[in-house]
Amino acid sequence: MTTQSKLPPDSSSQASSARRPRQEQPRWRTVFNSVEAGATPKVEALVRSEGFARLVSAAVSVESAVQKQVRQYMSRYWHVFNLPAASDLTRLSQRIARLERNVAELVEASKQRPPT
Amino acid sequence: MTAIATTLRDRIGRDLERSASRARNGLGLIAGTRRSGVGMSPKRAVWRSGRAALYRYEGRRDAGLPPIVLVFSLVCRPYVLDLRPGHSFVEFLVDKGHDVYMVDWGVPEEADSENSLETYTLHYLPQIIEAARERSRAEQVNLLGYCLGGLLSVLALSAQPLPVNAFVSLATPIGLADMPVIANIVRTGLDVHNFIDETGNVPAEVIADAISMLKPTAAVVNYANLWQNLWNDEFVDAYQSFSGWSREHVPFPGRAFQQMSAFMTADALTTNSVVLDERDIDLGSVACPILCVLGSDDHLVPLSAAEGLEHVVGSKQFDELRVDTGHMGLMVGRKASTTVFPCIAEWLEKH
Repeated sequence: MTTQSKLPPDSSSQASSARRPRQEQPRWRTVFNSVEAGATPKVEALVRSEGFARLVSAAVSVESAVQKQVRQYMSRYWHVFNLPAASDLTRLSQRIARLERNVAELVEASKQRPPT
Repeated sequence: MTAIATTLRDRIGRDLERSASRARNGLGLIAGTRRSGVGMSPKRAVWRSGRAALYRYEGRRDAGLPPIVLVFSLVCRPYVLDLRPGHSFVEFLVDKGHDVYMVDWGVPEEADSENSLETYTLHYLPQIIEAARERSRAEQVNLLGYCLGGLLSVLALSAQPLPVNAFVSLATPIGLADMPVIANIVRTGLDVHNFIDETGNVPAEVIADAISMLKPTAAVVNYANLWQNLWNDEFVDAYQSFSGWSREHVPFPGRAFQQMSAFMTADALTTNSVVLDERDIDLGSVACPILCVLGSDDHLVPLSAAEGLEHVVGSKQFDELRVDTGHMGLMVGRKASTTVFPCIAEWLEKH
């Protein structure tokens, strides 16, 4: 039989909040709170909508495509002067990362191998 | 008349004092000279592999309970569980005599971009649990997973038999299709490679933007709170340590991110269709007692995404604690220290 229970929250939290005097709010804060209370649900509903998700998705795709184009163009430009482009450095650092992974795997394997 | 003059004098005196404190704290924040210590509980690394490390906290360790291993998310630093002295979950447990361990996944670099969910659940977590068990000379450990750390813990528990006595899940996302905003974006069919940079990881800034997008007005509200309470040293300390932590995201290993996106699309945990290392994983095989702690105002992992745990695991004993707070309110703030910490400690003592 599955035991499922809702644990009662600690009563001390309710007691302490009851004892705590209400902090006096400055006038600017009252105005801020009323504006924020009106705006927040609307903004949150907007970012949680399917339309917003489609917009973000499109923006990310476009940004990614533009970056790719710019990288290719810049790469060709630097190669004309026989200089390495950022893409060459990325390739190099990816190779180093692969080597680092291989070393880590070897270290792990050597740890697990029983001593001879 | 004298009473009015005294009240007026007191009020002017208080306002002047507050203005001085406000100026001092404000200048300290702007200049960056005002710093509060975080993650201060004494600890020692007892296990390391790759960037991951397991820390054991110093203390009496006389509670007579299995050691507790805290597993935090991959995208944030784990020191939030030991944020400030006097306001720390770790400190609370250590003071109760628990033998406390915490996993730090580290900051992934290019070499870690191939880290998959298998790396964390089939490779690291079994080793971590074994290291804690051996070090404490215990037969079993208690496991506590927070957010994505909870998800990794559930997957690890499902994928293999582990010596875990009891599991505490805090805001663990199970219904991944119900995750706000990000699930909608994934559903549009966007190629997730667009989020991955040249290091092969999802940059920390993208993680931070995705999280702040969920509560777009939170930053403005936080600044208003800070301005209102700038005179209050205690508030500024708390603000500084928490806001410092919340800005310190870490990159998400690209391969694990792709797997998470696929899980999100398939709602894999709810439908029990998780595949790890080319094996079908049955979440129903998790049999240890579970305490599921949920925040009813959680904007990051809403109730609809977190409350499904009891339906997917096979545990015979499943307890739930719902607290009227947000995602981080489960570990930081007044409700955490007055409600969540004592309830978790009490539950662990009973199991």
